[in-house]
Amino acid sequence: MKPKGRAQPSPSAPAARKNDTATILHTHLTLIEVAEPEILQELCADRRLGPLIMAQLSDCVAVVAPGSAKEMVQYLLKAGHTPKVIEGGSAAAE
Amino acid sequence: MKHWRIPTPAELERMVPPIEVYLSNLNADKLKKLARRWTGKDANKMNKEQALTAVKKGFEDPQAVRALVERLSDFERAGLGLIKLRGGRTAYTEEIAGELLMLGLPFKGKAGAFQGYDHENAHYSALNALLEAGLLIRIDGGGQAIGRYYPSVAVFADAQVLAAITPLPPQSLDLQPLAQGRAEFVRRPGEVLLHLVAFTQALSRVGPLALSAKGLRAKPAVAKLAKTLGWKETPTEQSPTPLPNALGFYLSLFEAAGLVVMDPTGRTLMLQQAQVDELLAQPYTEQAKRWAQAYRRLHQWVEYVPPQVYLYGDHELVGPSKFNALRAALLLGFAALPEPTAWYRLEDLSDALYDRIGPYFSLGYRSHFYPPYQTPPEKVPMLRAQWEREQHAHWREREHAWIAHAIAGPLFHLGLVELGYAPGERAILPNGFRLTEAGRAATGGLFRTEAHPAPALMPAQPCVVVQPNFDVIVYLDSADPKQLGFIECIAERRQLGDATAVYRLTREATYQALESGVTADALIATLQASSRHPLPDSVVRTLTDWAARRERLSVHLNASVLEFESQAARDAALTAGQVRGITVGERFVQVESLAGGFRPGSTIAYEPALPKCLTASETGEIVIDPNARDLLINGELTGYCEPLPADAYRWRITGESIRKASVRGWTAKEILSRLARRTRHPLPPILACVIAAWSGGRAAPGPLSVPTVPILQVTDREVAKAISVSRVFKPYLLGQLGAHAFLVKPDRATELIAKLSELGFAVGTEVLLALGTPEQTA
Repeated sequence: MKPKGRAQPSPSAPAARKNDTATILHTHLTLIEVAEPEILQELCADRRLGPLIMAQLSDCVAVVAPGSAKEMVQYLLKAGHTPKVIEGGSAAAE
Repeated sequence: MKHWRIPTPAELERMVPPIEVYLSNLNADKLKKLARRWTGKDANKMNKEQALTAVKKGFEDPQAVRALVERLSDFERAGLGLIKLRGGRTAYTEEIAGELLMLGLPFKGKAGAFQGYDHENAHYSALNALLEAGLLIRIDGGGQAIGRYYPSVAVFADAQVLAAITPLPPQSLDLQPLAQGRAEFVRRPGEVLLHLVAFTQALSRVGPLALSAKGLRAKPAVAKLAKTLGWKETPTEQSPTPLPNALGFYLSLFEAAGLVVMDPTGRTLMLQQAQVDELLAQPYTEQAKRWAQAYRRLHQWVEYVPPQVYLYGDHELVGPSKFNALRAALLLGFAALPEPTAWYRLEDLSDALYDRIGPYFSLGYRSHFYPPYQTPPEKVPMLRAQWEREQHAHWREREHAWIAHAIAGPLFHLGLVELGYAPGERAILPNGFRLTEAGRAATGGLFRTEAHPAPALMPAQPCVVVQPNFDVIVYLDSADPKQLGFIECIAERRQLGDATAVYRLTREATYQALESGVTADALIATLQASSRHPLPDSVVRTLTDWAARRERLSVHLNASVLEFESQAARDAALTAGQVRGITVGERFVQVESLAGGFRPGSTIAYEPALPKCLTASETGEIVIDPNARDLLINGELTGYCEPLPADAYRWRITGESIRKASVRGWTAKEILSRLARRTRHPLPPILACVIAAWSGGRAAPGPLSVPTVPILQVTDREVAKAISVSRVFKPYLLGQLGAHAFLVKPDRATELIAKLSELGFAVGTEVLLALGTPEQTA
C-alpha cells in the first residue's frame, strides 16, 4: 500500500467531475496515524488497543472505533506511547 | 438561568443613583437634618422644598463641600476615608460596618445604649450614624437605617465630598508588642506566587467552571479542577497553618478579586487571563493590596465555623455575611497595630478587637445586659461586670477562635503574616504573629499619603538550575510569574521550600506541555533562557527525543476522509483542486477542505450513531447494502461473522464464528448490541437466541429436548378430566398436555392400551388434530 503523504497526483490522472457520485465522504472519524507500519502492527496486536482499531486505510493509517478516541489515547499513554492528539474538524467547503 | 449574586465593585459604581433620586426619597425631617449640615440652624425654618434646594446647592458648590468636610468629626472623616481608599464611591455594607466600628473613634448613635429588641443590628451602629448624617447613602436610594430587615448590599458617598477627604488611619490599638519573636512559619512571596500561578494554570486548563442550577460551583467541575491541581486536603485540626478547602478559597479569592467572573448566561465562571497576568506581574507588595481587598469580600468560603455559629448549607455563604465584617475589621486592626513590624500575641490582638467592636458585634448571638426586675441599684454594676465577663468568654470561644484560624490560614497563605509561638507557649495554632512587608503594605500602608511611584514590573532573570538528573531547582525570589507558569507546565513539582521549588522533567510532563501547544524548540529555548547555567547536553537530547517520539504517532479527532473508487479518480480530483488534503493509501484523502462546488456522491457520518447498513436473516445471513457500506463495517463483521467468498457484501454468522468471537472475549450481549445498532430492522428473535446459544455461558438458553413419547389423546373433555384424576391411570402417565392429551410412559404404553380396551374405550393410533382449544400443560 502506498504510505500516507502529501497529495502528489499523478500527471496522467483523468479529469475529475465536479459532482463525483462515486465518492463517499466519511466524516466524524478518529484516525490513528503512525510513522512506520510496524507500529500499527504492534498496536493491532495489542490486547487492549487492537479491538479499538476497526479498519486500516493504509499501512500507516487506521480508523479507531467511534466513541473510543479517549480510551485509545489513554491506552496509548499507558502503553508508553506519546500520541500527538490533533483536533481535525469536519470537512469544510472553501 | 440567572441567579442573584453580589454585584462586583464596578457594577456597584454603576448602580449609584443620582443625588436627586436619593434626596427625593427623603422625608422633610431627614432633609432638614441634611440641610443643617450646609446652612446651619437656618434649616430648621425651611420647608421640604427649601431644604432640598439648599442641600442640592451645597453638593454643587466645591467651596461649600470643603467647608462641610472641615466641620466633620474625626469619625466622619475617617469613615469617608475608608470609602475613598476603595478607589470609588461605594463600599459593601458588611465590610464598611465592621471597619467603622474598628476605627476606634466615637460616633453619634445608639452606641452602648438599648439597641431595640433586635440586637443583630448593633454592628450597623457606626454605619447608621453616617447614614443618619447623610454622609453615606444606601445604594438602593432608600432613606431608612440599615438593619436585618432593611438590608442594603452597599452604601455610597458623594464624589465631591470624597474628593475633599484625606483618609485617616484607625486609632492605634492598645497592644503591647512581644519582646521577642521568631518566625517559625513563613510564606515568602515567591511561594505565594507559585500557588497562584499553579491555580491559574489549572483553571485555564480545565476551562470555564460550570455552575449548578442554584448558581453554586458545580461539584463535578470543582472535582475536575482539584484533580488537575493535584492538591491534597490537609486535616485542618492537625495543621498549624490550616486552609480548609484550599481550592474553594482560591476560587472565592479570584472571584472576589474580579479575576474569575460569571459569563453573561450565568452558567459558568470564566478566568480573566489578561487581568491575572497583569496582576501577577506586579511586585508582591502591590499584589497584596488587591488580595487583601479580595479576602475582605470573600464569599462561599469560610476560615472556620466557630461554636454557636450555625450555617445551614453552602448557600448561607453566597451573600454578604458577618464573616466579611470581621475580616474587614481584622485587616483594619492590622493597620492599627502600634508598631507594624513588631511581633504580637494573637490573644492580645483578639482582646483589643473585642474592646473595639465586641460591644456591637458577634459572629453568633450577642445578648444585652438587663438587670433583673427590682435589682437594687448598688448591685447593678456587679451584675454588669459579671455579664461583661461572660461576653468576653463567649468572644474567646467564637471570635478569637475564628481570628486565630484567619491569621494562621488565609492571611498566612497569602503571605501577609509570619507566624511563631510566643516564648514558652505551645499550641497547635501559632499564637504569635508579625506582619510581613506585603502585609504592612496591604493594611497600614494604604493610609500613607506619600506619593507612590508606579509599580515596576519584575524583570525576567535566570531563576532555574537544570541538573543532569532532570531535576530543576527554581529560585522563587528571582522567578517571575511567566517563568513559574512555564516550569509548572513542563515539569512535575516535587518539593516546595521557603526559597526554592524542585521540579522534575519527566516524559509525561513534557508530553503534556507539548500537547498544550508548546513546541519542542520553544520548550528548550525558554528553559535555556531561564537557566542560570547552560542546559546539560543529556537533558537537551532527551527532551528532543521525547518531542520526536510524539511525532511518531498521531490521533486525529473528528477527521474527514474522502473515498474514491480508484486512485486515478482521486488524483484527478486533487489535480482539479476539488479537494485539499493528505493522500491516504490508494483511494483516500484525509480532507482539509473541499472546493465550493464539489459535492461528494454521498456522506457517511460515524457519530453520534453508526450508519445502519445491514440486514440480518433468521439463519444468520448478513447482507451489506452496497450503497451505504461504510469504512468500518467489514472490520466490525470480521469480529463475529464469516465472509462468503462469492459475494463481498454477504457474510454469515455461524456457530464457529461466534465461538471464535467468544474466545477473543466477546459476549453474546456485545455481539447482539453491535449487530443491532447496524441493522436497519429489529433483529430476528430466533437469531438472538441462536447467537446466545452458540456463545454458551450464562447467556445461553436452557436445555431443549425432542423426546419420542406416546401421547394419549382424548376427544371427550369429561373423559380426559376423569383420566387425569384417576388413580388407575396414574402409573401409566408422565403428565398432561393441555385438556385433551397425556404423555404416556413409553414402557407402559402397551399396558395402557390394553387397560383402556378392557374398560371399553376405543383406542386408535392416528393423531387427532381437532381437540378443542389449546390450554396450558398441567
